[in-house]
Amino acid sequence: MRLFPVACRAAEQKMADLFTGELHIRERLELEAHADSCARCDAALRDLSTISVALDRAYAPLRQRGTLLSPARVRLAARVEPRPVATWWRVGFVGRLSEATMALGFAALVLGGSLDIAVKPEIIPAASAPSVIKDYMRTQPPYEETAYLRWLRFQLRAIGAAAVPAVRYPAGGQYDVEQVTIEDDWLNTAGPR
Amino acid sequence: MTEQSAKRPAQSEERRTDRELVYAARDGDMLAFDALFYRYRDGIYRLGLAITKDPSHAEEIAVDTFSRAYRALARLEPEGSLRPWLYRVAVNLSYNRRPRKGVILSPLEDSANDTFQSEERSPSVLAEQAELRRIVLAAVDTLGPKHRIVVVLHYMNGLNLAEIAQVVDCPIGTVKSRLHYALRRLRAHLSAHPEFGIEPMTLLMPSSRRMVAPAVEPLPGEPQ
Repeated sequence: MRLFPVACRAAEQKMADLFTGELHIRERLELEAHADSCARCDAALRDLSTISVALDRAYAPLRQRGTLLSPARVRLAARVEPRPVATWWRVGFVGRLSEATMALGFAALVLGGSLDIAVKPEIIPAASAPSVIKDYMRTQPPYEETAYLRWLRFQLRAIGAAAVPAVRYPAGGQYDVEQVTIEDDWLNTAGPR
Repeated sequence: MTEQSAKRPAQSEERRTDRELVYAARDGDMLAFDALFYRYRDGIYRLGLAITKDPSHAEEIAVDTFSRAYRALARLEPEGSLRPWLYRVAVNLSYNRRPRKGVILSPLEDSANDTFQSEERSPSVLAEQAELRRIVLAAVDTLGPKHRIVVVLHYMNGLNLAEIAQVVDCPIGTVKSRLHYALRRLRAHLSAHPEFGIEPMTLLMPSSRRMVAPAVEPLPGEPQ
């Protein structure tokens, strides 16, 4: 079933091009010639022209509006923001499970605190308790001279040394070695004072 | 008025094409991005304003559109103008911010602006024009989103059919048919207002006598 002649349908399709300014001059002349011979297309063309002008005028004030936005606001908005990291306890089933576990733990803490359960600590005798500090101090030589000699002799005996070397001490303020005197020390820094 | 008071980029930036500006901005030239911003700022603002009818939403849309462009600088490859890409983003953002049904926002007409620009007209003429504008914009609001965006992009932003096709991502023929359908719907809607002088539509009235031929043969002697 055909409602309109082909010429009217073609004219309607050309009307949209006419209002967008993309109709060739030859087609425009054809459209106007058809509108002269067809009252219906003539009315449609006239009405659509009226609407086109009305739309143009309706949007005219809006076309003159502007904004004072600055590019700095765009840069601020475009700043790469850190993505919120979904913590593991917030993720689905794991989150529910952790919540239930924490609830159970808290309940156990409350109930356990209310129960009087006497737990006797195991007493370790002090004598048999190992002490790293004592072992360390035992292996260190004492500071006092006589105790040091005794400790040294004991150590040498413990490792199986044959004889204890004789220790020579300075006697009467004299050294047991020859003193070296630097003759050309004009600053007099090397000699004994 | 607004362009004069706003900070404008240098003349050399305005002469460069969008492609050159995008490549320069990609290399860290912020003046190039500013030039792009000032080039399309007002158009995107108006587009957002026409769809959302809220100036604050329109500003947010403009900022969001350019911030997306800023983030997408590395993969932007504008063959010609960057405008279709920006407008497409702005249209999508605008429809996400459209007011809900039943929410009445202030109309788009700017009476103060009109008064400022046409001081020689009488108040009655201005009021009549504002009323006509309100009727037309209300009629545009009755259109569906696909048809309304075509009307807005053509009559307010001045885009041609090819640019509209790029923005709405469909063939030019589809844009043409949508625009024609929108105009016909507006004609039907505005014919109820005698101020426009539009005749009531008789689109379904057949123009051929064959269509009115009765399906049943008339009886002999009955006038045809």
